[in-house]
Amino acid sequence: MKGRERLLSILSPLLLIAAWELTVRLGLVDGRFIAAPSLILVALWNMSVSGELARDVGVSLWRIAAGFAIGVVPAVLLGLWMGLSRSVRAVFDPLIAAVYPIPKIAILPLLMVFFGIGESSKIAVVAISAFFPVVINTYTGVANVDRVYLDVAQSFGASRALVFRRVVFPGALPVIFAGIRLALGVCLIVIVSAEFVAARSGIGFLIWSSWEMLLIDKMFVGLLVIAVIGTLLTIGLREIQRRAIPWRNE
Amino acid sequence: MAEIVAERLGKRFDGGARPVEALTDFTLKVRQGEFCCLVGPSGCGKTTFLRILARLETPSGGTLEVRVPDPTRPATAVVFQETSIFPWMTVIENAAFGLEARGVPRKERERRVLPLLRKVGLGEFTDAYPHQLSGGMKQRVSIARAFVTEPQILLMDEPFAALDAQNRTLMQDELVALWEEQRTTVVFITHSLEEALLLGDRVVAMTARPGRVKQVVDVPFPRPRNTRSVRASETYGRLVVDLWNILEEEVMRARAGEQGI
Repeated sequence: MKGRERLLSILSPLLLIAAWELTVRLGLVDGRFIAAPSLILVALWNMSVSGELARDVGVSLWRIAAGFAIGVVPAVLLGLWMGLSRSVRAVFDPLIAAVYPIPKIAILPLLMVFFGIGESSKIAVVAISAFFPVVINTYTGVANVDRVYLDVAQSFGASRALVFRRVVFPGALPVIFAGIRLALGVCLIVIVSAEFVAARSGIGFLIWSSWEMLLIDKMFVGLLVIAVIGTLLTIGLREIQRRAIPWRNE
Repeated sequence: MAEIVAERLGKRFDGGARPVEALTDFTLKVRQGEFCCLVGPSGCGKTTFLRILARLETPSGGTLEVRVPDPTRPATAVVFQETSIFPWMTVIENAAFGLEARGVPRKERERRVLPLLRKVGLGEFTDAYPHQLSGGMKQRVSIARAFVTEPQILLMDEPFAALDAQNRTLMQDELVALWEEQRTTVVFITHSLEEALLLGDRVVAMTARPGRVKQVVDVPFPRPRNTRSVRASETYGRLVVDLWNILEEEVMRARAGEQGI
């Protein structure tokens, strides 16, 4: 039964691709707008050989990595501080609540005023997008560490530093990680959107410019690549999480 | 070894919609090396008294004197009610936490914790995480964590409440054996009259909230105690009924209070 289910779940996408190829070949859909899978593969090959694909992927990954690092690290630090101190939370909570609902891509023009049209504005928009889910999850995680664990630590006379290092931080870590996973998803959306409108390189630019020039096969390569990147980053993050939080059996 | 003298102790909680009087005029003396069990209806302030002893709460009235002669050992250690061991620490890290909090170096912590973990049957599980353990094993870790710091007073807040009846019996026997080696002063809270009589030297019955001492029952069974022969004895059955006669009225009152009558 298990073998049969596995077979079915391998067959179903293959069948879909075959049906797709067939409908394009038979002219049931307009080949100018929907590229056949075989043509997408050919374009993927050509773009890999020419180095075009590597360049765009590299640029996007760099923007995500730099922006993510710049956004996540201060978010965790501020979140911890807010979780530990009510007054700090009282200061930052309304600010965060006010800015959080704004779709971050909407402030891209503003960021371009500050950072120019170069790399900095793209990295900044990724950083800001990553910042909010992480800061919110971090202070929620810290504030929601089960009371009984704090009682235990206090009853054994643990110092504040030890309580933080051994109780509060590890207690909040699963929630912090959930925030980081959320941030990663948001960052992918934001970088592609930013590259659509305000970049001359990157996967978003590849997709958008290919569409404008009706190079549909190349556009589909862009979609394929962004899907693969998203999947790989999620798997990588899950692996990091598994090592950082070995007490969670998910 | 220590002695506890609580004189007209009171505790009010002002936080909620209306203030709650958890304890009033709570007067009790616990002798040194005594195993003292507290029973009483839910919400009668047993846990509040224990938390005051652990210095997790401060009393709002009366006096509390805790005489702990040895300044090198911690005054108290608590075995909490629910599973209070840290999910993110292994068994050995959990059991050594009290020592870690006192600044004992890692090697020394392990040297002291390992024999105790073996004694409570967790020698094979030192590197396991709590989610891999049964409820009984988790409470053993919690007990080891408290015992290893060699507290002068051991505070236990319904440590076996979440266990099934058979595991509970096993744990009671283990606790009796462990305690009889050390004879630390113990304050033990439980809902179970049977448990109080099996473990304790004295059983303190409390009133419904606000909690006061209603009656203190001396437990006549000798030490070292064989819980099997205690359970089989006629005195045990009679004492359970006696205790229930003392407490029934209070439990009814507590229930009426909950229903707002």
